[in-house]
Amino acid sequence: MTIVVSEDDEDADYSPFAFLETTVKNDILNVSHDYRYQKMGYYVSMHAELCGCNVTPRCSDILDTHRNPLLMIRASRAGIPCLPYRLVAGDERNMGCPALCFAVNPYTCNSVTQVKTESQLYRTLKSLSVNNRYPVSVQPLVGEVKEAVQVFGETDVPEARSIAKKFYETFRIPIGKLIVQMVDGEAKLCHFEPTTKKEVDWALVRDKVHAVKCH
Amino acid sequence: MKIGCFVEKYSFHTREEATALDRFKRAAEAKGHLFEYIFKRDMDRIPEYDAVFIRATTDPMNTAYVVSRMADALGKVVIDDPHSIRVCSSKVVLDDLFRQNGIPSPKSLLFAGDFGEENLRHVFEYLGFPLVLKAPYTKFSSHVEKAHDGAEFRLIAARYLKNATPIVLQEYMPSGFDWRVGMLDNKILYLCKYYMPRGGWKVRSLVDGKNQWGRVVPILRKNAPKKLEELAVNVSKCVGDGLYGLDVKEIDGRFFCIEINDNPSFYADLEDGKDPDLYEKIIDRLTSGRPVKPGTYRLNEES
Repeated sequence: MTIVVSEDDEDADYSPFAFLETTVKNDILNVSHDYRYQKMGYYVSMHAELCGCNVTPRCSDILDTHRNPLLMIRASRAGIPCLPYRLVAGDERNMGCPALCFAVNPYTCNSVTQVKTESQLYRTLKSLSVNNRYPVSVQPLVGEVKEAVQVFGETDVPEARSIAKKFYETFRIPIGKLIVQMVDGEAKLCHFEPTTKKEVDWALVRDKVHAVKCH
Repeated sequence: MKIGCFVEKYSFHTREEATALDRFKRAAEAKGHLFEYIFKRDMDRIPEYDAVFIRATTDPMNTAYVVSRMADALGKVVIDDPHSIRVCSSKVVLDDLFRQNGIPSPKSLLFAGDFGEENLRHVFEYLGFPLVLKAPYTKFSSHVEKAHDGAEFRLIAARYLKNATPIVLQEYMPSGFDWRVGMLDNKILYLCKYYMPRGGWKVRSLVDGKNQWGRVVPILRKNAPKKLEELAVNVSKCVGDGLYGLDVKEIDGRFFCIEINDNPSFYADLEDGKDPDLYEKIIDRLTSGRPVKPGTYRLNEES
């Protein structure tokens, strides 16, 4: 039996906070729009794991998807088309522009920054690295950047459908935002971010949850 | 063997910490191993090393976690391993771990921001005043504050909840010192008393507007009280067989676990003051080829 923990009351067996007070031994489906470390979505999975449950998504997958270099390593291994990345630490020069930058620091969310010139790049690196305290992931900007909200492997962005499906099969994160670049007609994965609650199609989430429960 | 020691600039800020790092290096070299410091810019070189030792803040959102996860994924022996970091870095998770395993610890509650009158009455009746508020990411007693009344509680809680939900509330247990028990392979590696500074209530307290540390008194590990040793072994077994530092309060002969830290700090002549062989033991563990094994509460890993 699968127990659903969700912030969407309609289909939840437990609200996230109520779940933290329980001790259950079932399979758990944790539905959240935000699984970031230190947020309720993360703690639900952690609590389920401490209780010895099989949980979707797992904490290791959550953390891997939210750290750009770890996401890129695992996504490439899983056969998801990815763009190359470089971790930049300190005052490096001649990195090449245009570029797409992502924070690898604990504070910045929605960090995706497109830079066209070297001076823009240095300013962005300084900001995203919190004055060189953290590395920044830099990728070449070679195509159109698109955001695709995926819900259980589905997205309404046609170009990102195949990536969304593979992403969900690999990482089992029910809800999240994929950042892709279109290169020669093919989507390539660049990054993953949490969604805001209003970006999510909750009717689709409910359908998916029903399907899981009925199964 | 080749050991990579991941450090950040701040790991060398104090003479005592830098000296301790040098003692690790000497211990490794005395045994014929290569010991190199690696910084953020060297992360791509992790595959070159046989083992990785982390001496930097290991919260999952920090660079050190990425290093640990990379090293672990590559099959290196890594202290700290990502599993231990995930368990120890969040006080919310530790609170859960203690409950699930019946570990004696201060009475506590999670608080997710329900400031309703009924809920607050329950919280205040259960924990009493003063009560302690802890942000999940506290390190070295930072983001741990005492509230003496409801108004103070509301202010501190609202501030902590901006960055994390939920936070931990605990009953206040006054004591002159905390035991610090260093553990490796589920055995005591070193033992200290971390005293509160005069006029403070935490090992690092704000006294007269200044952050002050209390004294650290090393104790021979063989002199650890039996009950303290039993508690420390039980707690570390829940997490794994890596390197941990436990904070324990002793109240009227009873011991209460406050937290278990992955990546415990080492300052020359303090933690190693009575048991200087700790460097050698850690190097031996790193070069043993044995990866750190998750404890009784094994969290799901990538298959």
